Amino acid sequence: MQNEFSAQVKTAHDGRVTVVELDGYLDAYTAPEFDTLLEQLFTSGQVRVVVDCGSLEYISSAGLGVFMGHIEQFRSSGGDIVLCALSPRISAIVEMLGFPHIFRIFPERSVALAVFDRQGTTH
Amino acid sequence: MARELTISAELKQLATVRSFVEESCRELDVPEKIIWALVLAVDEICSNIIRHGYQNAQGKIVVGVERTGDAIAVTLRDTSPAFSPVRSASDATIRLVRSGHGLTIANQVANLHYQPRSEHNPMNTTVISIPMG
Repeated sequence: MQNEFSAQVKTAHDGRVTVVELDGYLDAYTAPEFDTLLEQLFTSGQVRVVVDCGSLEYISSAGLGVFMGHIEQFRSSGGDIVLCALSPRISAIVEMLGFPHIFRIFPERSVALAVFDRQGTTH
Repeated sequence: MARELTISAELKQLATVRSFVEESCRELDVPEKIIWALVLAVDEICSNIIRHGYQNAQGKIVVGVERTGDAIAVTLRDTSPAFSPVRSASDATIRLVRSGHGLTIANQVANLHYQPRSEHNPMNTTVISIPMG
């Protein structure tokens, strides 16, 4: 069924960076789950986040809206939400909404993680 | 003859709609690239009908998939209060807001046409089509 969605949270860089691995279908039905997760990360002070979309099969505007709704919050706290490993189809949708002008997007997780090697405001 | 599916107007049904459109298009030999775009547009419009038309109240949506000449078309019929799920979208690009981007996506990948219900037609009708030529 195309409404399966999961988000696995891991840490990198000795716990300084949080990696969220998205898997499945992020649509208007599953977006609230991801929204809650980002809110929890922010509340717990985990504001340096890499979202790995390598296993994400589908994203709709509702899913993208979750990113939009949190990015300023994370950046204003000295963090950022960085995306990586987008499939060509996910990239196409993301580009339709001008995401590359707002978010930093990298082909590989290692490159995305390197963004946070630099201290301070990351955008 | 159009393939039809009736769903309850709930967000959890979006996955069923996507699967139905995808499978119907494959049976109609629609190219994969067009299937992807059509599924994307239908998902966005269906979501709009559920959230803004029915406003999460009970209701139904009838989904029809049909090849019409040189195009593939999905028709969504509903009885929600007057609401156009394809009304002109403002330029949503690069706006840091949560919602309102669905029409931007749907308009970029498909042609949208909305006909509100009337005394002659008891259901709102939204047609989402993509030329195959």
